[in-house]
Amino acid sequence: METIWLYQFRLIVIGDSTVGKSCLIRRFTEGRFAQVSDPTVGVDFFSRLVEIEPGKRIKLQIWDTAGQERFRSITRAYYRNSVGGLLLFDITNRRSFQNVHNWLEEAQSHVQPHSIVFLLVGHKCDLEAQRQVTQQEAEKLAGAFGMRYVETSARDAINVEKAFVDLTRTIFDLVRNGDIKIQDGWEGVKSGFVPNTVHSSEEVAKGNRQCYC
Amino acid sequence: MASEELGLNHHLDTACNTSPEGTDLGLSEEEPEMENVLTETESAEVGGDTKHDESSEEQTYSQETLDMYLINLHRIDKDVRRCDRTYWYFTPENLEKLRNIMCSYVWQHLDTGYVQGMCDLLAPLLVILDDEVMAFSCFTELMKRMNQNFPHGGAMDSHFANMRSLIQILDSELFELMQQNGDYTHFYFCYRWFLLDFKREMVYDDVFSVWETIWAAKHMSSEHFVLFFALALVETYRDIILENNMDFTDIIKFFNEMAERHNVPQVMTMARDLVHKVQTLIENK
Repeated sequence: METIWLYQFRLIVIGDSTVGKSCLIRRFTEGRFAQVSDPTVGVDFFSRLVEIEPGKRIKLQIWDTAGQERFRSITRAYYRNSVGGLLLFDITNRRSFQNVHNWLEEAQSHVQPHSIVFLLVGHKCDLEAQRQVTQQEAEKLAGAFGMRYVETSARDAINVEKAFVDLTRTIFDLVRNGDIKIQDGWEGVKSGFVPNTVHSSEEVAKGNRQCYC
Repeated sequence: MASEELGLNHHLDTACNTSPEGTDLGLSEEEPEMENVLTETESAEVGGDTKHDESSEEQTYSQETLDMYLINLHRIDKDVRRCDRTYWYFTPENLEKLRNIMCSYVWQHLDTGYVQGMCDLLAPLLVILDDEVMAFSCFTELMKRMNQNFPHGGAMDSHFANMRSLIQILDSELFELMQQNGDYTHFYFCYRWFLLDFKREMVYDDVFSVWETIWAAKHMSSEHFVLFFALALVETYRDIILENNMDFTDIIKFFNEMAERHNVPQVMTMARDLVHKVQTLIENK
């Protein structure tokens, strides 16, 4: 049951309701697509291992959030301990694109003193005929926020793997270069269990069971 | 009561269908998720048609009220469309009933408005009663208790605190494991249980029996049967949780995967035993 991983990254997925957050995560973690899915209430949790380089596995903990404003008080608590995020909009729903900057503000005001590496995701790209947001304008917005942009489809499994893996790789590089540091009391990044590495006595005393998957 | 409701519905339908799209599927994309983005075009559309027509209407409503209601209608439409679609009962015709009831309820509770999860609470009532007026009345009654569990109600933290206390008293070994993970915010794995009275944890037949038990228990044994059922769910799997040394994310994941797979009669028996156990403890104190 135990799997060895180098780091654990905690990601959060946000965006308006019905943009397809849960479906995207399910496609990534379970490899399947459900035509209808229950509205997420509060937050939901998923996880998956990603091999970023041969032999280098990252455990992703993914928090799925309710899109509705009313649950903001619950979802808010999960920003602080996230190192990365997928900010979703639905390419067939202009309003969800217009709300992207509100979501970003919401996240940024609750993540202090940390920060979240975001990826902008235009979802439901299989519905090209109903597109209301062009790839160019989405890329422009992402650029303005210093993010990358990717278009995905959970239904047709387009770029789902790429979205999560690219974000993971970006965070991995930041961690490796020391731009993102592992800190006590912060769950965003945790170092994992590596064979022949002795955990510090401090970790043992705190009762962290970081090797458990 | 019934005629009053119908009258209200009729009035609302008139008010709301002033939007050219009416209840059309296309409406969903208009919904502003963030409070600061209200759609002006829709307001204008409503305003055009509801101008103080006092001769034919008993009451007029402020533009603000109507705008608020329209936003709620869009939220309702989004969720009705995806409510338990795999269950045989929810044909387009019956989904329309669900929608009618929810629209009526939200109109009467516009201060709170529609919150995701409400459809989950209404659906089993409609399935059993198959009658809009009856289901509306029962749902209104049910929401008097359930409202407090929604984010605006603030009761969730006390549920978590109660769970923590009960586990501390009844299962110190499990309590110790959970303690390693910090405070009772880590009882988050029961959030959906309390919010929806376990509705998403079980198949419909089990929902009916658990809900009836919760309602009856209030008069027969404990007002807090919900808490004991939650405790029984945890205790049912306590060995698995302990053996695998699960942290709170593992527990969330575990219960997500177990949804609709519980042996509910067995959990129910354990819940009853736990009520008895705690009551005995209190009596012998």
